[in-house]
Amino acid sequence: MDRLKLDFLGVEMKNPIIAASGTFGYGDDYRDFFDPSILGGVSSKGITFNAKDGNSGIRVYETPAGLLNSIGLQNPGIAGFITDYLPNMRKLGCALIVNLGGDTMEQYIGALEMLEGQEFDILELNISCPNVKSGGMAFGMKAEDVFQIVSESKKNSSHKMMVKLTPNAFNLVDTAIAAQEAGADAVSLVNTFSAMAIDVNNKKAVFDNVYAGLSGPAIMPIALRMVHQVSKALDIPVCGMGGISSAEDAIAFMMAGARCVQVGSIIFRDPNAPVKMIEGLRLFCEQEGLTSLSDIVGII
Amino acid sequence: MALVLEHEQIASSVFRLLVKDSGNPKPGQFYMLGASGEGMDPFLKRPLSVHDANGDEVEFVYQIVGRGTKMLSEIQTGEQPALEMFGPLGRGFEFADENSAFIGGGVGVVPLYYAIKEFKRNFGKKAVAYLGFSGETFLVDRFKAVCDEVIVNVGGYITDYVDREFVQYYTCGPDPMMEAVAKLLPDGAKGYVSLEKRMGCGVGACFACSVRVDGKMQRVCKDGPVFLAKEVF
Repeated sequence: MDRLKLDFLGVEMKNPIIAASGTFGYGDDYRDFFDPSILGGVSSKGITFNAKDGNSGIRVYETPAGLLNSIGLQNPGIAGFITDYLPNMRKLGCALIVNLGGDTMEQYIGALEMLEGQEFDILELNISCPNVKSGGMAFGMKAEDVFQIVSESKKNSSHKMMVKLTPNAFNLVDTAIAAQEAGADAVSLVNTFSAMAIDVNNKKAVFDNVYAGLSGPAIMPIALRMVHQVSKALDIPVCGMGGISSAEDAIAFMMAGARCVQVGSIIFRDPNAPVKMIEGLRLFCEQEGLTSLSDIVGII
Repeated sequence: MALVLEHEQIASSVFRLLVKDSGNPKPGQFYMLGASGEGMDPFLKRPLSVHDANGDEVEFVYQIVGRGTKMLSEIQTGEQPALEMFGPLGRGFEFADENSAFIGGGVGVVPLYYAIKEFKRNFGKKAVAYLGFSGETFLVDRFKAVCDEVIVNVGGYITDYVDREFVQYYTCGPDPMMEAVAKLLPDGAKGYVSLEKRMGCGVGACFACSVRVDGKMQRVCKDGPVFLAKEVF
Protein backbone atom coordinates (compact mmCIF):
# COMPACT_ATOMS: atom_id res chain seq x y z
CA MET A 1 0.00 0.00 0.00
CA ASP A 2 1.09 3.54 -0.59
CA ARG A 3 2.13 5.17 2.63
CA LEU A 4 1.57 8.70 1.31
CA LYS A 5 -2.02 8.17 0.22
CA LEU A 6 -4.73 10.00 2.12
CA ASP A 7 -8.40 10.80 2.09
CA PHE A 8 -9.18 14.49 2.28
CA LEU A 9 -12.88 15.43 2.33
CA GLY A 10 -13.70 12.17 0.61
CA VAL A 11 -11.17 12.81 -2.12
CA GLU A 12 -8.43 10.25 -2.49
CA MET A 13 -5.07 11.94 -2.85
CA LYS A 14 -1.80 10.22 -3.82
CA ASN A 15 0.12 12.30 -1.33
CA PRO A 16 -0.43 15.40 0.81
CA ILE A 17 1.39 17.83 -1.52
CA ILE A 18 -0.88 20.31 -3.27
CA ALA A 19 0.32 23.09 -5.57
CA ALA A 20 -0.95 26.33 -4.02
CA SER A 21 -3.25 28.71 -5.80
CA GLY A 22 -1.50 31.46 -7.72
CA THR A 23 1.79 29.63 -7.94
CA PHE A 24 0.93 26.91 -10.42
CA GLY A 25 -1.21 28.69 -13.02
CA TYR A 26 -3.81 26.27 -14.34
CA GLY A 27 -1.62 23.22 -13.87
CA ASP A 28 0.33 23.03 -17.11
CA ASP A 29 3.18 25.51 -16.73
CA TYR A 30 5.59 23.14 -14.99
CA ARG A 31 5.16 20.20 -17.35
CA ASP A 32 8.76 20.60 -18.56
CA PHE A 33 9.84 19.75 -15.00
CA PHE A 34 7.33 17.14 -13.83
CA ASP A 35 3.95 15.67 -14.63
CA PRO A 36 1.34 17.35 -12.39
CA SER A 37 -0.30 13.95 -11.85
CA ILE A 38 2.46 13.12 -9.33
CA LEU A 39 0.98 15.75 -6.98
CA GLY A 40 -1.70 15.15 -4.41
CA GLY A 41 -3.61 18.05 -5.91
CA VAL A 42 -3.54 21.39 -7.67
CA SER A 43 -5.36 24.52 -6.56
CA SER A 44 -6.22 26.72 -9.54
CA LYS A 45 -5.17 30.30 -10.02
CA GLY A 46 -7.65 32.43 -8.05
CA ILE A 47 -10.80 32.98 -10.09
CA THR A 48 -13.29 35.83 -9.70
CA PHE A 49 -16.74 36.41 -11.16
CA ASN A 50 -15.48 39.03 -13.61
CA ALA A 51 -12.23 38.82 -15.56
CA LYS A 52 -9.39 40.82 -14.01
CA ASP A 53 -6.29 42.31 -15.65
CA GLY A 54 -4.46 42.31 -12.31
CA ASN A 55 -2.59 45.13 -10.61
CA SER A 56 -0.51 47.86 -12.20
CA GLY A 57 3.15 48.40 -11.38
CA ILE A 58 5.60 45.94 -9.92
CA ARG A 59 3.91 42.66 -9.02
CA VAL A 60 6.66 40.69 -7.28
CA TYR A 61 9.54 41.75 -5.07
CA GLU A 62 12.07 39.58 -3.28
CA THR A 63 12.76 39.65 0.41
CA PRO A 64 15.25 37.49 2.32
CA ALA A 65 13.94 33.91 1.88
CA GLY A 66 10.63 35.30 0.77
CA LEU A 67 8.56 37.00 -1.81
CA LEU A 68 6.12 39.90 -1.82
CA ASN A 69 3.39 39.75 -4.42
CA SER A 70 0.66 42.01 -5.62
CA ILE A 71 -0.58 40.20 -8.72
CA GLY A 72 -4.16 41.32 -8.27
CA LEU A 73 -5.92 38.07 -9.21
CA GLN A 74 -5.38 38.39 -12.93
CA ASN A 75 -7.80 35.81 -14.32
CA PRO A 76 -10.27 35.25 -17.16
CA GLY A 77 -13.36 35.39 -14.94
CA ILE A 78 -15.51 32.43 -13.99
CA ALA A 79 -17.10 31.99 -17.42
CA GLY A 80 -13.74 32.04 -19.18
CA PHE A 81 -12.28 29.70 -16.60
CA ILE A 82 -15.07 27.16 -17.04
CA THR A 83 -14.78 27.25 -20.83
CA ASP A 84 -11.04 27.62 -21.37
CA TYR A 85 -9.26 26.11 -18.38
CA LEU A 86 -11.44 23.79 -16.30
CA PRO A 87 -11.77 21.02 -18.92
CA ASN A 88 -7.99 20.74 -19.18
CA MET A 89 -7.51 20.97 -15.43
CA ARG A 90 -9.79 17.96 -15.01
CA LYS A 91 -7.20 15.94 -16.92
CA LEU A 92 -4.28 16.82 -14.63
CA GLY A 93 -4.59 13.46 -12.90
CA CYS A 94 -4.65 14.71 -9.30
CA ALA A 95 -7.19 16.24 -6.94
CA LEU A 96 -8.58 19.40 -8.50
CA ILE A 97 -9.25 22.39 -6.28
CA VAL A 98 -10.86 25.51 -7.72
CA ASN A 99 -9.87 28.68 -5.88
CA LEU A 100 -12.51 31.40 -5.87
CA GLY A 101 -12.30 35.02 -4.74
CA GLY A 102 -14.57 38.04 -5.08
CA ASP A 103 -15.08 41.73 -4.34
CA THR A 104 -18.68 41.37 -3.15
CA MET A 105 -20.89 38.65 -1.72
CA GLU A 106 -22.95 38.79 -4.91
CA GLN A 107 -19.86 38.01 -6.99
CA TYR A 108 -18.98 34.98 -4.87
CA ILE A 109 -22.52 33.68 -5.15
CA GLY A 110 -22.75 34.38 -8.86
CA ALA A 111 -19.52 32.45 -9.46
CA LEU A 112 -20.56 29.58 -7.19
CA GLU A 113 -23.82 29.26 -9.08
CA MET A 114 -21.91 29.01 -12.34
CA LEU A 115 -19.71 26.33 -10.84
CA GLU A 116 -22.73 24.21 -9.89
CA GLY A 117 -22.77 21.10 -12.04
CA GLN A 118 -19.08 21.54 -12.90
CA GLU A 119 -16.91 18.60 -12.03
CA PHE A 120 -14.01 19.21 -9.65
CA ASP A 121 -13.06 17.97 -6.21
CA ILE A 122 -12.94 20.88 -3.79
CA LEU A 123 -13.84 24.55 -3.85
CA GLU A 124 -11.29 26.69 -2.05
CA LEU A 125 -12.93 29.92 -0.92
CA ASN A 126 -10.40 32.76 -0.86
CA ILE A 127 -11.69 35.23 1.72
CA SER A 128 -8.56 37.40 1.75
CA CYS A 129 -9.98 39.62 -0.98
CA PRO A 130 -10.98 43.16 -0.02
CA ASN A 131 -14.73 43.47 0.50
CA VAL A 132 -15.82 46.50 -1.49
CA LYS A 133 -18.80 47.02 0.84
CA SER A 134 -16.62 47.01 3.96
CA GLY A 135 -14.42 49.80 2.68
CA GLY A 136 -11.93 47.34 1.28
CA MET A 137 -11.38 45.34 4.47
CA ALA A 138 -10.89 41.69 3.58
CA PHE A 139 -13.81 39.28 4.12
CA GLY A 140 -11.54 37.14 6.27
CA MET A 141 -10.61 39.75 8.86
CA LYS A 142 -13.52 39.44 11.29
CA ALA A 143 -15.28 36.29 12.52
CA GLU A 144 -18.77 37.64 11.80
CA ASP A 145 -17.82 38.51 8.21
CA VAL A 146 -16.29 35.07 7.75
CA PHE A 147 -19.44 33.42 9.09
CA GLN A 148 -21.56 35.40 6.67
CA ILE A 149 -19.52 34.81 3.53
CA VAL A 150 -19.02 31.13 4.25
CA SER A 151 -22.64 30.38 5.19
CA GLU A 152 -23.95 32.22 2.11
CA SER A 153 -21.39 30.44 -0.07
CA LYS A 154 -22.32 27.06 1.35
CA LYS A 155 -25.99 27.73 0.65
CA ASN A 156 -25.17 28.32 -2.99
CA SER A 157 -22.78 25.48 -3.61
CA SER A 158 -22.94 21.73 -3.43
CA HIS A 159 -19.16 21.37 -3.70
CA LYS A 160 -16.94 20.43 -0.80
CA MET A 161 -15.74 23.76 0.54
CA MET A 162 -12.34 24.57 2.00
CA VAL A 163 -12.07 28.12 3.33
CA LYS A 164 -8.66 29.74 2.86
CA LEU A 165 -7.98 31.84 5.93
CA THR A 166 -5.96 35.01 6.07
CA PRO A 167 -3.28 35.32 8.75
CA ASN A 168 -4.05 39.03 8.87
CA ALA A 169 -7.36 38.35 10.65
CA PHE A 170 -7.87 40.23 13.91
CA ASN A 171 -8.17 36.85 15.59
CA LEU A 172 -7.29 33.94 13.36
CA VAL A 173 -8.68 31.19 15.57
CA ASP A 174 -11.99 33.02 15.85
CA THR A 175 -12.26 33.29 12.07
CA ALA A 176 -11.40 29.59 11.75
CA ILE A 177 -14.14 28.66 14.22
CA ALA A 178 -16.56 30.96 12.39
CA ALA A 179 -15.77 29.17 9.12
CA GLN A 180 -16.42 25.81 10.76
CA GLU A 181 -19.67 26.98 12.32
CA ALA A 182 -20.80 28.37 8.98
CA GLY A 183 -20.44 24.93 7.46
CA ALA A 184 -16.95 24.89 5.96
CA ASP A 185 -15.79 21.34 5.23
CA ALA A 186 -12.15 22.27 5.78
CA VAL A 187 -9.91 25.28 6.14
CA SER A 188 -6.62 26.04 4.44
CA LEU A 189 -4.10 28.43 5.96
CA VAL A 190 -2.24 30.65 5.76
CA ASN A 191 -2.68 33.00 2.88
CA THR A 192 0.03 35.68 2.54
CA PHE A 193 0.90 38.13 5.26
CA SER A 194 0.18 41.78 4.56
CA ALA A 195 3.55 43.46 4.18
CA MET A 196 5.30 46.21 2.28
CA ALA A 197 8.52 47.35 0.70
CA ILE A 198 9.84 50.86 0.17
CA ASP A 199 12.16 52.01 -2.58
CA VAL A 200 14.24 54.36 -0.45
CA ASN A 201 16.11 55.89 -3.38
CA ASN A 202 12.90 56.95 -5.09
CA LYS A 203 11.17 57.58 -1.77
CA LYS A 204 8.07 55.64 -2.66
CA ALA A 205 6.34 52.35 -1.95
CA VAL A 206 7.50 49.57 -4.27
CA PHE A 207 3.93 48.46 -5.01
CA ASP A 208 1.23 50.65 -6.54
CA ASN A 209 -1.15 49.20 -3.92
CA VAL A 210 1.43 50.03 -1.21
CA TYR A 211 0.86 46.75 0.65
CA ALA A 212 1.51 43.31 -0.80
CA GLY A 213 1.41 39.70 0.40
CA LEU A 214 4.49 38.06 1.87
CA SER A 215 5.05 34.35 1.27
CA GLY A 216 7.99 31.96 1.17
CA PRO A 217 10.25 30.34 3.78
CA ALA A 218 10.44 33.66 5.67
CA ILE A 219 6.90 33.16 7.00
CA MET A 220 7.11 29.43 7.67
CA PRO A 221 7.54 29.40 11.47
CA ILE A 222 4.63 31.81 11.97
CA ALA A 223 2.42 29.88 9.57
CA LEU A 224 3.32 26.67 11.39
CA ARG A 225 2.27 28.15 14.73
CA MET A 226 -1.01 29.33 13.20
CA VAL A 227 -1.75 25.93 11.69
CA HIS A 228 -1.07 24.36 15.08
CA GLN A 229 -3.42 26.76 16.88
CA VAL A 230 -6.21 26.40 14.35
CA SER A 231 -5.88 22.60 14.19
CA LYS A 232 -6.29 22.40 17.94
CA ALA A 233 -9.40 24.57 17.84
CA LEU A 234 -11.26 22.87 14.96
CA ASP A 235 -12.91 19.54 14.28
CA ILE A 236 -12.83 19.91 10.48
CA PRO A 237 -9.63 19.07 8.59
CA VAL A 238 -6.90 21.62 8.04
CA CYS A 239 -4.74 22.06 4.95
CA GLY A 240 -1.53 23.83 5.96
CA MET A 241 0.65 26.18 4.00
CA GLY A 242 3.07 29.05 4.37
CA GLY A 243 6.65 28.86 3.20
CA ILE A 244 6.92 25.09 2.96
CA SER A 245 10.12 24.39 1.07
CA SER A 246 11.11 20.82 1.93
CA ALA A 247 9.69 17.46 2.98
CA GLU A 248 10.78 18.30 6.49
CA ASP A 249 8.67 21.47 6.46
CA ALA A 250 5.68 19.53 5.11
CA ILE A 251 6.11 16.95 7.87
CA ALA A 252 6.25 19.72 10.48
CA PHE A 253 2.95 21.15 9.21
CA MET A 254 1.38 17.69 9.37
CA MET A 255 2.67 17.13 12.89
CA ALA A 256 1.15 20.51 13.77
CA GLY A 257 -2.22 19.23 12.59
CA ALA A 258 -2.44 19.65 8.81
CA ARG A 259 -3.86 16.66 6.90
CA CYS A 260 -2.31 17.91 3.72
CA VAL A 261 -0.22 20.91 2.68
CA GLN A 262 0.09 23.40 -0.12
CA VAL A 263 3.39 24.51 -1.57
CA GLY A 264 3.87 27.64 -3.61
CA SER A 265 6.67 30.14 -3.61
CA ILE A 266 9.39 27.51 -3.40
CA ILE A 267 8.40 26.23 -6.84
CA PHE A 268 9.46 29.58 -8.32
CA ARG A 269 12.90 29.09 -6.86
CA ASP A 270 13.16 25.37 -7.61
CA PRO A 271 10.63 24.00 -10.10
CA ASN A 272 11.48 20.47 -8.97
CA ALA A 273 10.77 21.18 -5.30
CA PRO A 274 7.46 19.24 -5.23
CA VAL A 275 9.17 16.15 -6.69
CA LYS A 276 11.89 16.33 -4.03
CA MET A 277 9.30 16.81 -1.30
CA ILE A 278 7.30 13.75 -2.31
CA GLU A 279 10.49 11.66 -2.40
CA GLY A 280 11.44 13.06 1.00
CA LEU A 281 8.06 12.14 2.48
CA ARG A 282 8.43 8.58 1.20
CA LEU A 283 11.91 8.32 2.67
CA PHE A 284 10.65 9.65 6.01
CA CYS A 285 7.95 6.96 6.13
CA GLU A 286 10.56 4.27 5.45
CA GLN A 287 12.95 5.60 8.06
CA GLU A 288 10.24 5.94 10.66
CA GLY A 289 8.55 2.67 9.79
CA LEU A 290 5.24 4.43 9.14
CA THR A 291 2.62 2.49 7.22
CA SER A 292 0.74 5.72 6.65
CA LEU A 293 2.16 9.23 6.73
CA SER A 294 -1.22 10.40 8.02
CA ASP A 295 -0.34 8.81 11.35
CA ILE A 296 1.78 11.85 12.18
CA VAL A 297 -1.06 14.35 11.75
CA GLY A 298 -1.49 16.42 14.88
CA ILE A 299 0.97 14.55 17.07
CA ILE A 300 2.38 17.80 18.42
CA MET B 1 24.55 22.93 -9.93
CA ALA B 2 26.09 24.13 -13.15
CA LEU B 3 29.42 23.83 -14.86
CA VAL B 4 30.77 27.34 -15.40
CA LEU B 5 33.23 27.33 -18.29
CA GLU B 6 34.05 31.05 -18.45
CA HIS B 7 32.96 34.04 -16.41
CA GLU B 8 34.49 37.45 -16.90
CA GLN B 9 33.82 41.13 -16.63
CA ILE B 10 33.61 42.79 -20.05
CA ALA B 11 32.58 46.32 -19.06
CA SER B 12 32.24 48.24 -15.81
CA SER B 13 29.19 46.35 -14.55
CA VAL B 14 28.72 43.87 -17.40
CA PHE B 15 29.68 40.20 -17.21
CA ARG B 16 29.93 37.35 -19.69
CA LEU B 17 29.02 33.89 -18.40
CA LEU B 18 29.56 30.69 -20.39
CA VAL B 19 28.00 27.54 -18.97
CA LYS B 20 27.61 23.96 -20.06
CA ASP B 21 24.01 23.37 -21.08
CA SER B 22 22.45 21.29 -23.81
CA GLY B 23 19.06 23.00 -23.81
CA ASN B 24 19.54 24.23 -27.40
CA PRO B 25 17.84 27.58 -26.91
CA LYS B 26 16.40 29.57 -29.79
CA PRO B 27 17.42 33.20 -30.29
CA GLY B 28 15.33 35.44 -28.03
CA GLN B 29 14.75 32.77 -25.40
CA PHE B 30 16.01 33.16 -21.83
CA TYR B 31 16.99 31.18 -18.76
CA MET B 32 16.32 31.78 -15.09
CA LEU B 33 19.62 31.97 -13.22
CA GLY B 34 20.70 32.76 -9.73
CA ALA B 35 23.27 32.29 -7.04
CA SER B 36 21.64 30.03 -4.47
CA GLY B 37 22.82 32.22 -1.57
CA GLU B 38 22.77 31.49 2.13
CA GLY B 39 19.39 30.77 3.67
CA MET B 40 17.54 31.11 0.36
CA ASP B 41 18.51 34.74 0.00
CA PRO B 42 18.13 35.87 -2.74
CA PHE B 43 15.00 33.82 -3.18
CA LEU B 44 14.26 34.05 -6.89
CA LYS B 45 16.16 33.55 -10.12
CA ARG B 46 16.73 36.30 -12.67
CA PRO B 47 15.76 36.04 -16.31
CA LEU B 48 18.87 36.35 -18.52
CA SER B 49 18.58 36.29 -22.29
CA VAL B 50 20.77 33.98 -24.31
CA HIS B 51 23.70 35.76 -25.92
CA ASP B 52 24.98 32.74 -27.81
CA ALA B 53 24.60 28.98 -27.82
CA ASN B 54 25.87 25.88 -29.50
CA GLY B 55 25.07 22.22 -28.85
CA ASP B 56 26.31 22.00 -25.28
CA GLU B 57 27.17 25.54 -24.20
CA VAL B 58 25.08 28.60 -23.50
CA GLU B 59 26.42 32.09 -23.05
CA PHE B 60 24.85 34.97 -21.15
CA VAL B 61 25.88 38.60 -20.88
CA TYR B 62 24.29 40.51 -18.04
CA GLN B 63 24.57 43.73 -16.14
CA ILE B 64 24.69 44.02 -12.37
CA VAL B 65 21.50 45.82 -11.39
CA GLY B 66 20.95 44.63 -7.84
CA ARG B 67 22.03 42.24 -5.17
CA GLY B 68 21.02 39.10 -7.07
CA THR B 69 23.08 39.87 -10.16
CA LYS B 70 25.94 41.06 -7.92
CA MET B 71 26.01 37.65 -6.22
CA LEU B 72 25.77 35.95 -9.60
CA SER B 73 28.80 37.91 -10.77
CA GLU B 74 30.87 36.49 -7.91
CA ILE B 75 30.46 32.89 -9.05
CA GLN B 76 33.75 31.31 -10.10
CA THR B 77 34.43 28.92 -12.96
CA GLY B 78 34.19 25.16 -12.52
CA GLU B 79 31.47 22.94 -11.05
CA GLN B 80 29.32 25.39 -9.12
CA PRO B 81 26.61 24.08 -6.81
CA ALA B 82 25.85 27.73 -6.02
CA LEU B 83 24.73 28.48 -9.58
CA GLU B 84 21.16 27.38 -10.16
CA MET B 85 19.52 27.72 -13.53
CA PHE B 86 16.71 26.42 -15.68
CA GLY B 87 15.63 27.01 -19.24
CA PRO B 88 15.42 27.70 -22.09
CA LEU B 89 12.15 29.53 -21.62
CA GLY B 90 9.77 31.72 -23.59
CA ARG B 91 9.19 32.33 -27.27
CA GLY B 92 12.04 33.63 -29.35
CA PHE B 93 12.46 35.60 -32.58
CA GLU B 94 11.04 34.47 -35.91
CA PHE B 95 13.12 35.22 -38.96
CA ALA B 96 12.24 35.91 -42.56
CA ASP B 97 14.26 35.99 -45.77
CA GLU B 98 14.50 39.79 -45.80
CA ASN B 99 17.27 42.29 -45.16
CA SER B 100 16.92 42.79 -41.43
CA ALA B 101 17.77 45.48 -38.90
CA PHE B 102 18.74 44.51 -35.36
CA ILE B 103 18.45 47.47 -33.00
CA GLY B 104 19.65 47.19 -29.43
CA GLY B 105 20.16 49.52 -26.53
CA GLY B 106 22.45 48.83 -23.56
CA VAL B 107 22.26 45.23 -22.38
CA GLY B 108 19.39 44.93 -24.85
CA VAL B 109 22.04 44.24 -27.49
CA VAL B 110 22.77 40.89 -25.83
CA PRO B 111 20.14 38.60 -27.44
CA LEU B 112 20.56 40.23 -30.86
CA TYR B 113 23.97 38.63 -31.38
CA TYR B 114 22.62 35.09 -31.32
CA ALA B 115 19.65 36.26 -33.37
CA ILE B 116 21.95 37.63 -36.09
CA LYS B 117 24.09 34.48 -36.10
CA GLU B 118 21.07 32.28 -36.60
CA PHE B 119 19.57 34.65 -39.16
CA LYS B 120 22.80 34.65 -41.19
CA ARG B 121 23.10 30.88 -40.93
CA ASN B 122 19.64 30.42 -42.45
CA PHE B 123 19.30 33.30 -44.90
CA GLY B 124 21.55 35.07 -47.35
CA LYS B 125 20.09 38.52 -46.72
CA LYS B 126 21.75 41.47 -45.05
CA ALA B 127 21.93 41.88 -41.27
CA VAL B 128 22.64 45.37 -39.97
CA ALA B 129 23.15 45.95 -36.25
CA TYR B 130 22.41 49.30 -34.63
CA LEU B 131 23.87 49.32 -31.14
CA GLY B 132 23.21 52.16 -28.72
CA PHE B 133 25.04 52.64 -25.44
CA SER B 134 24.73 55.34 -22.83
CA GLY B 135 28.43 55.13 -21.92
CA GLU B 136 30.86 52.28 -22.26
CA THR B 137 30.37 49.95 -25.23
CA PHE B 138 30.61 46.15 -25.15
CA LEU B 139 30.29 43.19 -27.52
CA VAL B 140 30.78 45.46 -30.56
CA ASP B 141 33.60 43.36 -32.04
CA ARG B 142 31.48 40.26 -31.79
CA PHE B 143 28.70 41.94 -33.74
CA LYS B 144 31.23 43.08 -36.35
CA ALA B 145 32.23 39.46 -36.91
CA VAL B 146 28.71 38.34 -37.86
CA CYS B 147 26.98 41.42 -39.32
CA ASP B 148 27.12 42.99 -42.76
CA GLU B 149 27.27 46.36 -41.04
CA VAL B 150 27.41 47.59 -37.45
CA ILE B 151 26.47 51.12 -36.43
CA VAL B 152 27.32 52.16 -32.90
CA ASN B 153 26.16 55.23 -31.03
CA VAL B 154 27.21 56.34 -27.59
CA GLY B 155 25.18 58.82 -25.55
CA GLY B 156 22.68 59.70 -28.27
CA TYR B 157 19.67 58.10 -29.87
CA ILE B 158 20.51 55.02 -31.91
CA THR B 159 17.15 55.36 -33.61
CA ASP B 160 18.49 58.48 -35.40
CA TYR B 161 20.77 56.20 -37.43
CA VAL B 162 18.37 53.44 -38.45
CA ASP B 163 17.79 53.11 -42.17
CA ARG B 164 14.04 53.43 -42.74
CA GLU B 165 14.04 51.10 -45.71
CA PHE B 166 14.01 47.92 -43.62
CA VAL B 167 10.86 45.83 -43.73
CA GLN B 168 12.00 43.38 -41.08
CA TYR B 169 13.50 44.39 -37.75
CA TYR B 170 14.27 43.10 -34.27
CA THR B 171 14.74 45.29 -31.25
CA CYS B 172 15.63 44.91 -27.60
CA GLY B 173 16.40 47.62 -25.09
CA PRO B 174 14.70 50.29 -23.02
CA ASP B 175 10.96 50.59 -23.78
CA PRO B 176 11.20 54.19 -25.11
CA MET B 177 13.89 53.08 -27.57
CA MET B 178 11.83 50.15 -28.79
CA GLU B 179 8.76 52.34 -29.11
CA ALA B 180 10.76 54.87 -31.12
CA VAL B 181 11.97 52.07 -33.40
CA ALA B 182 8.41 50.79 -33.88
CA LYS B 183 7.21 54.28 -34.83
CA LEU B 184 10.18 55.00 -37.08
CA LEU B 185 9.88 52.09 -39.46
CA PRO B 186 7.19 52.01 -42.16
CA ASP B 187 3.74 50.59 -41.34
CA GLY B 188 4.31 47.59 -43.53
CA ALA B 189 7.52 46.61 -41.76
CA LYS B 190 7.39 43.55 -39.57
CA GLY B 191 9.10 44.13 -36.26
CA TYR B 192 9.75 42.04 -33.20
CA VAL B 193 10.40 43.48 -29.76
CA SER B 194 11.88 41.57 -26.87
CA LEU B 195 10.43 42.82 -23.60
CA GLU B 196 12.04 42.82 -20.21
CA LYS B 197 9.94 42.60 -17.06
CA ARG B 198 10.46 41.63 -13.45
CA MET B 199 9.55 37.95 -13.18
CA GLY B 200 8.54 35.55 -10.46
CA CYS B 201 8.48 32.05 -11.90
CA GLY B 202 9.69 32.46 -15.50
CA VAL B 203 7.33 29.76 -16.78
CA GLY B 204 3.91 31.43 -16.88
CA ALA B 205 2.53 30.27 -13.55
CA CYS B 206 2.55 33.41 -11.41
CA PHE B 207 1.39 36.22 -13.72
CA ALA B 208 3.92 38.67 -12.28
CA CYS B 209 5.25 39.78 -15.67
CA SER B 210 1.96 40.44 -17.45
CA VAL B 211 1.78 43.26 -19.98
CA ARG B 212 -0.98 44.41 -22.29
CA VAL B 213 -0.20 43.16 -25.78
CA ASP B 214 -2.67 43.14 -28.64
CA GLY B 215 -5.45 44.23 -26.29
CA LYS B 216 -5.03 41.47 -23.74
CA MET B 217 -2.84 40.67 -20.77
CA GLN B 218 0.05 38.43 -21.80
CA ARG B 219 2.93 36.97 -19.85
CA VAL B 220 6.35 38.19 -20.93
CA CYS B 221 7.92 34.92 -19.75
CA LYS B 222 5.63 32.50 -21.54
CA ASP B 223 3.72 34.34 -24.26
CA GLY B 224 6.89 36.39 -24.97
CA PRO B 225 9.44 37.76 -24.31
CA VAL B 226 9.36 38.38 -28.07
CA PHE B 227 6.19 40.00 -29.37
CA LEU B 228 5.21 41.67 -32.61
CA ALA B 229 6.11 45.37 -32.30
CA LYS B 230 2.75 46.55 -33.64
CA GLU B 231 0.96 44.61 -30.90
CA VAL B 232 3.00 46.26 -28.12
CA PHE B 233 3.41 49.87 -29.25
